Amino acid sequence: MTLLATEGLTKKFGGLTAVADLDFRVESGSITSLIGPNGAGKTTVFNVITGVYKADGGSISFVGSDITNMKQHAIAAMGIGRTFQNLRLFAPLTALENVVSGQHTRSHAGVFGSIVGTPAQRREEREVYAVAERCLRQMGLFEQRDVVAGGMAHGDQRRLEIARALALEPKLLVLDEPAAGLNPNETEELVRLVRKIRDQGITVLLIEHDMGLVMEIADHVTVLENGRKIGEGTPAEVQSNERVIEAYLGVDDEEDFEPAEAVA
Amino acid sequence: MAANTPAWRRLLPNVLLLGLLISFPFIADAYWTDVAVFFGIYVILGLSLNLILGEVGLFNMGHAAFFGIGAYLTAILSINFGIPIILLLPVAALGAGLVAWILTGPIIHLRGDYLLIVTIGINEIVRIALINNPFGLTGGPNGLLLLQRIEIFGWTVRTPADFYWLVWAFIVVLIIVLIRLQNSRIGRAWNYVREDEVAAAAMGINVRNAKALAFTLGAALAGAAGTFYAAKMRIISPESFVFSESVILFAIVILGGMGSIPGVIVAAGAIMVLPELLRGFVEYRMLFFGAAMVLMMIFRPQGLWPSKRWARKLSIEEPETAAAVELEEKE
Repeated sequence: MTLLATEGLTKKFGGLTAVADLDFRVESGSITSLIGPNGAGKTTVFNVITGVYKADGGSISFVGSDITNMKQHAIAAMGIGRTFQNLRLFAPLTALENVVSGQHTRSHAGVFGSIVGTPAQRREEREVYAVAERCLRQMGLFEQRDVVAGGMAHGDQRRLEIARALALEPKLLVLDEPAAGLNPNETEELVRLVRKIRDQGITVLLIEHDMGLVMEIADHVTVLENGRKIGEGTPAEVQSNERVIEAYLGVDDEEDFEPAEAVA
Repeated sequence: MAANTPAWRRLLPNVLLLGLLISFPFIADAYWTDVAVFFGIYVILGLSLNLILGEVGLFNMGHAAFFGIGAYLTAILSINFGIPIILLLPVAALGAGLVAWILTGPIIHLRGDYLLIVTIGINEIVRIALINNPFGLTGGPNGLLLLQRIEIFGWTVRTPADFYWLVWAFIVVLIIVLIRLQNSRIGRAWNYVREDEVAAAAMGINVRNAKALAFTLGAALAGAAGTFYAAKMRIISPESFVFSESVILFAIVILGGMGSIPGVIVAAGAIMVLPELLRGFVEYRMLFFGAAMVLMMIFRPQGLWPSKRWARKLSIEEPETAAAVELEEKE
């Protein structure tokens, strides 16, 4: 089943076409990865899907409904949780307080209910904190729940962002370069955690530079270059795709280039 | 930890504080009781701006406009229709809140300094409108004289002590309400918006609505403070609701610590009560005030009493569940 699909998705910034006519699918229950060289438009695709940018053309559907150009908060409420490439935690708040934010759309108390403290509101608050606690434990951050987010180690901040997105109880978790700045041990830990999230039934969409990581965990890979899709398939298929190799390795190296000429 | 101390030990400071609060007019003379009334009105104003500036980080530099709208609504409706003032308290709040809510439409998306400039403009518009005496309602630069007194179930609020109890009873209720809001999903959403709008929206928070709600509630509360002020002063004129008043309110929130209820109270006290203590140096008052601001911003930018965020015990922490999770992690 397709969870998320874009059709002819286009995004322009002035004269620059960052994403051009992109057809792209995320199958339910998979770990799908979007890769491409720097400036290929990966993060732009993410930002259009999650409503940060408006699309200039094409459509996006999620669980069968059209979410093109919906407001960012409404898209989140539909069940798309995300992290940010350049961490965007609520820095002066504690880890727990950060994670609780994910439960905003899963709770409903209004001004009156919050002031009076109705039984429904109290029950809801208990549930909100229980979910936040579960997400913190899952990311191995429970011991640090009262630590101010801005003061945590970089790797922990990365995992905290994932915990916060998980607290949204998303159908689709969108991770924007989660391994950026992590050491090999932390990256290994991340692979394990992301797999576990997938095994829980949460679909994962991953943007990553670290090709080793992508090849290790992705079920399906889509490759972008200059805003266009140049290849897709399983990690093995993509790795043997010539256009992909060209985009990643470049064609200016003579030794690599000569055999290609010989074939032609 | 706090949870281990008996309930009476934890409540004792609050009970003592409440006792002192209630008995203050018996201890102090009428003059100091009066000072305490104005201090109270500034606490309400400071807390109202704290909702907007402290909790959500909206730079509202025209808060006195809503204070003025509340005060004038009270005076106009009381003078022209003889409506009991205590009934005008919610009316003033609703009126100021409504004006604020309408204003949020075009301005709430503005960021930081842009919003600050716009709210200064709003403050000026309100002040000049009051001076221009529209429909003969506001009495122009001379203002209005309010003859009615507050009456609650036959108790007439007459002496400074009466006013003191009324205002401070309101504050006690208000603080309970505000603490509950701070600890609720709404208060949390405000803080998330203050820290990072993009991340807050990514967590499903409707940033625009969260800001508009805080702006409207804060303005409504300032309107209610206007009712107390009008009833206490009995003469209100446009010069009480000018830009410099907004600056003082802004300073109260920043000095106290953004988002901190005790901070706002301490800062309102510092700004209202210290000048009374320093009567002898009256010419140097603004000099002290300015110097204090500069020193504060250099040495204690987080405020006198920074907000202790809503640290909260987690519901269940049974050792076996924790151990079970750890086992699961290891596998």
